[in-house]
Amino acid sequence: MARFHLSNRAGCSDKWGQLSDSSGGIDVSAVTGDAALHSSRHALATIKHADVVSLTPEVEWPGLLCSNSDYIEAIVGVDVTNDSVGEVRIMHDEKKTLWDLAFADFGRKLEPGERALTHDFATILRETNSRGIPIVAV
Amino acid sequence: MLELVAVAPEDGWAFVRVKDATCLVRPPYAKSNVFSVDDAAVETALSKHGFVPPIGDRTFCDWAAVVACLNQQVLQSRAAAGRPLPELGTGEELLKVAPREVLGGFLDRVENELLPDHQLDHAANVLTAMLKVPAARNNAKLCERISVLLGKVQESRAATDAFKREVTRTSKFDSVFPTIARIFGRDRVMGLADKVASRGQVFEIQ
Repeated sequence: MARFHLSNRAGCSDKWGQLSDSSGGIDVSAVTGDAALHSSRHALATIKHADVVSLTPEVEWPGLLCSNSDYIEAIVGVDVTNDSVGEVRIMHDEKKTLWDLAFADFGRKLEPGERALTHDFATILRETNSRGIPIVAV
Repeated sequence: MLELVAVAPEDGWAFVRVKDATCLVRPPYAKSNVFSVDDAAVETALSKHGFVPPIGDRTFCDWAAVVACLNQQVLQSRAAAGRPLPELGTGEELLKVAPREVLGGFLDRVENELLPDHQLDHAANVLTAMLKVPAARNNAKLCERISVLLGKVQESRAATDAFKREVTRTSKFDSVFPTIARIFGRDRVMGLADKVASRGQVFEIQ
């Protein structure tokens, strides 16, 4: 599968566009240092976060790779299929809120907004379970 | 005055302008789920994330009215999309796909929160629902805990009923609640108490 990764930042969603020259080809000088093949994605992540990684607790490293403010973009040359999904991640707080609502449902009638959350969560769990995709809290 | 500026109706998310500030609200609706945002976030939400300008009422006098509107939009938009929300039972829906540690966590909460707080209906609802879940039913340890906890619910209900019978005997009632007994009389108070118990709430809904 043709895959590579780009160092990126939230708000700059079209990094690929920035790396293309006017004829649609790849601007090699722009790519250097900002892109890596899939097999070298760890090196790209290390270069990008070299200044902060040693100061950041290991448990917070996933947030360096993907958060609301920062991420490393993956460019995939073929369609992503269910087989390509290794795991689905959910934040600990969000997961706790959803299970708290499920528990509350046995003591009171949930509001429609709350029911939408729990109903959608159940749908996601059913789908991921049936495909053997683990849900991982981070 | 609160003004809706963008909504995701099926999810109940909304951007709300409050005086000069804008915030994002989402279910479950609580202060902890209100986040300050800048105007660029609203633009991005409208152009990229499926938010739409609100239809109908845009301004509201308080948060309760905003939440009522968003809840109504969740129901209407999902029904219109042919995916109506189930009226009840999303807890049971989730129990069926809950991992083992969540099932165990629910039993911990029944034991440590609901039973000491005498929330016996809530406890019984959780336990009986768990008995219908194969992952719990086929696990000997979970089954045993459910059985023990159901026994505790039963004991607690019996003790509550016995206390109620004892305290509502005329002589006991008059000594435990002397002022109420003198002003309203035991029979009138007990009639009202039975009504509240049978409908499960203080006020009657017409």
